[in-house]
Amino acid sequence: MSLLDEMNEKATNRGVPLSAHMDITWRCNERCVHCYLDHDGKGEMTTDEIKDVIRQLADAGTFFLSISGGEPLLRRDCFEILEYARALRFNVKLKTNAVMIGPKEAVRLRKLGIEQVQISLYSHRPEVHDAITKLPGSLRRTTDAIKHLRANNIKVSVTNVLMQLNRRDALAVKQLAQDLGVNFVIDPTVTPMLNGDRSITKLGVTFDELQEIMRTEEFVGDVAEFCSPVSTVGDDVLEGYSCSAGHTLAYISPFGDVFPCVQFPMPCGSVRKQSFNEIWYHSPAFNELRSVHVRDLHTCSQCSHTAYCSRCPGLAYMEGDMRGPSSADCEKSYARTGVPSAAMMRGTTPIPQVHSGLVQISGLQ
Amino acid sequence: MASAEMYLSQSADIAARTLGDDTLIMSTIDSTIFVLNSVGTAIWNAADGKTPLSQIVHERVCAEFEVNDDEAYADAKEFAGQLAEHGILRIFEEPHSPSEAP
Repeated sequence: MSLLDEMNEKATNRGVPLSAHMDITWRCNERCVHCYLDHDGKGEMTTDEIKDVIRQLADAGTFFLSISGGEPLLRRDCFEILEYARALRFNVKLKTNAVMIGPKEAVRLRKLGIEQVQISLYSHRPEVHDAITKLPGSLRRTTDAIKHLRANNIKVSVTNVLMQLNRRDALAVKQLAQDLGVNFVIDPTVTPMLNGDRSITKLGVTFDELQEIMRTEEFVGDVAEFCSPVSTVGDDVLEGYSCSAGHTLAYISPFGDVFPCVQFPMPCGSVRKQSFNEIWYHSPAFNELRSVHVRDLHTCSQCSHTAYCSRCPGLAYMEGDMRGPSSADCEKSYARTGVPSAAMMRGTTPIPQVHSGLVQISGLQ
Repeated sequence: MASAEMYLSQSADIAARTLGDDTLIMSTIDSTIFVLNSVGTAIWNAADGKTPLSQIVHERVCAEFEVNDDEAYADAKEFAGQLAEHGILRIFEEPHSPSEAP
């Protein structure tokens, strides 16, 4: 067990929110086609309110702090907020599209000791990347920014959210990341909008494409190992939790609303009405979430994928039941192993059609 | 304890948080992670650049953890040296304030 795993375990046992994700604005200078946020800035927390929340997080024991948005650098006080967080000794990650990062901003970020800048990169081709962000010139500006950041030795991680629009560019984006000297993460999940609208999920990769991704060595490493089903589930898995949301992770919106995770829109309270600690330790919603062990998941606890499934309780919540399966993760497990999930076997989640043959014939089932 | 006095100061190039008795520290330079136990945490929290290490050891370690001064001081020097090697702690021969740090 790594030192960080040990600290995570201690944090879980003590109920410490070791990680927090703060969106300081939902406004953005891009209009990504798959974005799950609306971009209304009305009622955002003030600088003082945000600093007060950050101070409360430090008191609560938070170590990892992600400052995000929207585009966080659209706030004029973004650097003031980052500086405040670093003065309180947080490990700070900045999630940004980076189009506002020039040489001066890169130097400022280096001087602040920002741990990592996380940036979405959709394609190596401007006609694809810019079509997704709807901001002409955004690929050039983002890659220029990455060069400025790297020139200052700032760690950068690019996330390649895969959609049908850019699926074919993933390997080239990985190569671009390598050429720029930055980390590369692939993400095949398009998250529904926080207001429940699922229409944007149609932009996601098809099942066939997902299968192909799961069988591409450059993305998953040893394909045979990655795709082999593991059916044994130990008590440690059943006694555990699906993820850290609400256990060691909290999300705070630009309006002061607290949730278990940015992808888990279950309202737990508002820091404008209560202290963060009051919400974290006493919110009925947080406490209900914490009572749910893997063993309590009515379908997933019986599933052969349980040991390695990336089940997201937030996506399950958005589908109507945080104790239920997340169909997107059922699809991933199926694409990975070829074995249907328990939800698929029960018919509550549809089994995706596979079009692997040269000829597709319908109407014969 | 005849050797020159040491003054310890926490580097600015770190992230740190104390959880219970332990302190989690990460270097912002190379992302190395350190977890200090209760004795290390006591020394770390007292590393203000102004208090001599011998005083820290006497007041924060020996008084709390029932070890003798000489043994604890030797261990504390070694501990400080290890953290200094990774740039998360600075060692000075004179008291200083953080603004005087190079």
